[in-house]
Amino acid sequence: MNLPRVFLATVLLFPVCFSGRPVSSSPNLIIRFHPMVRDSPLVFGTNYQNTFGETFSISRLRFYLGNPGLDSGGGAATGASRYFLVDLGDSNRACIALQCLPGSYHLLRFQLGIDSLDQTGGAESGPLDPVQGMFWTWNSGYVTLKIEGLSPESDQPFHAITYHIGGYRYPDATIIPVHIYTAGKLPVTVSDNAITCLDIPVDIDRFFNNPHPLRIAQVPACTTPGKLARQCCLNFSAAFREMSVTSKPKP
Amino acid sequence: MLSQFLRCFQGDVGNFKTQTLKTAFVIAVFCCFSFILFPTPLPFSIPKGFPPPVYSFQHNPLTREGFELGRKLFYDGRLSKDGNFPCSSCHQQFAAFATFEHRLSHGYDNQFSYRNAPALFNLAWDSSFHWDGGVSHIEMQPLAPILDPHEMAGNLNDIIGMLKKDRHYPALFATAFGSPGISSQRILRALAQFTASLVSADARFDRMKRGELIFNEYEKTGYTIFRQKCESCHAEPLFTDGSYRNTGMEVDTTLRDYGRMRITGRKEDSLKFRVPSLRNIYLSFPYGHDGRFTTITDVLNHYKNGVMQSPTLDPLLKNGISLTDNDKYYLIAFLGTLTDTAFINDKRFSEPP
Repeated sequence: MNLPRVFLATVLLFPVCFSGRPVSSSPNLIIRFHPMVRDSPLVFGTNYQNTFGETFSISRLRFYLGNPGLDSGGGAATGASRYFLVDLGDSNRACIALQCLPGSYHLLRFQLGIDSLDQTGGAESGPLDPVQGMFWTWNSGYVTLKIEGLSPESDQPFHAITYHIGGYRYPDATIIPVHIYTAGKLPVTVSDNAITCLDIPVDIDRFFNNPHPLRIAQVPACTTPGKLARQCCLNFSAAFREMSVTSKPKP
Repeated sequence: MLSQFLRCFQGDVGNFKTQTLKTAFVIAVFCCFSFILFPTPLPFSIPKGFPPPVYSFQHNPLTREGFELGRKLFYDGRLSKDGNFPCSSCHQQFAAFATFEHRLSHGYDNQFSYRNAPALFNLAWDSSFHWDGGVSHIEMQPLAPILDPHEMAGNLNDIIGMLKKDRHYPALFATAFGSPGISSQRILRALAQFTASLVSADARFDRMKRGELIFNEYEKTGYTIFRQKCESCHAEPLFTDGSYRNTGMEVDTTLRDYGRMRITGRKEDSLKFRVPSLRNIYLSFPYGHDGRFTTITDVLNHYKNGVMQSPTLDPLLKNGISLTDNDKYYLIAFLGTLTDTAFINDKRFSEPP
């Protein structure tokens, strides 16, 4: 064992041994997503009808959210981590916790999808770990959005509906900015000693019709990058409705 | 171990002998830690005349332990669903890490791969992978064969679970990456350390370039013809320019493979496939994305009079390539100088004992 290595290890280990635990301030902003069909909460595995009168049920609904932050006029805001995998089928994973500088803000912004540079950066961990099942191996890239379920209108095996929406090459990139306001565009106040919760309904009916009409009978599946994937993603970006704000003191 | 280390500071300071023993113990403990903290760096040498590599081991420093771990994983059949298909089942060292003598490779449950398995070497210079360029990073490449239901049919969580339960892997991961833990990221990085290290640059051709030998007359003539008729796509020193081209191969009606168009969705990319390297070409037969050419002569005959016209045909091949029988003979002699026997016999790359 050579001496320089021993020395280096010693130097590196001392701070590990004797430093205190790192101070971490707790999140003061929680964003919660709620799957809906128009004004009813969406229960997975239950039948609903979209605007076109087509019956469907949802069994999986997950998406990547990136670079979240609050904005005030031209001012900056914060996000903690860069990417989050939001799973609307699991209430624990349908919310994200952030730290945000105190202030008054009037909009929440984030992007759907993963930046192209991060698509091609090599093996990742955390939300971008391929074990999350949101990575395409034969055409490298992260799936921005996965919606799976059943519909009698679908001519696919098992009457499945399968929307695996991805692709990062322009002009069909499924990387779309989303801006969300409160009703009446009232400001959101964030402070250090309270937890501000933003509750955001995600209306799946809009995924099927706004702005691009996607009848299940015609489009029961989309699993490759391209124009259709981009349209699906645009529709989903429009599914986020106005947010409501509540605040409670930090425990 | 840490608590023992801390306790030794609270011992009897007066007893010199004990103190010496304790000091020795502390040093011994640090020796262990230094081994864990610092795997041994391995140099990555760029062969003379090669451009800078695309993959520079950024975020994934090349180390002896990382390389050896990747090597072990590459040869471990348990990465596949039924245990029968390690990476090395389709990438055999004696075939320059292609599948020897197979148009398509065998996979899980008597299935076949979709395309001819490429030979593996000089991958650190590739910016994309697969015949259609669908994979954009060397670290992400193994996911395709590992997870493909026709190939290894594996599952990442199962693989991680298997490795965690293994007698040896947890310690190997800890030493390779400086801390305990097995994740997909570490598996992929270890594999990349091994695959990116597969450098082939010691063929007769390379030794000629380095002035260590001179070509015989056949090879020399073949090299001249090569430079006139082949080099625009199979550019030195990698013997590929990394581009995608339609070389006029008719679509196989059973595979219906349109190549790069599958990735880009652009009509202009229909029937385009990656230009393969010609290094080790004597070993990597059969040729073509679907392995339709058994011999080099078959390939040359295709270029001479088999090129199918289509809108996306490479302009360089509009009239095929004019080749006399003599040209073919000399070309084949030259292509033989691209066989790197040192590479296929390199023990560092063979199945670990």
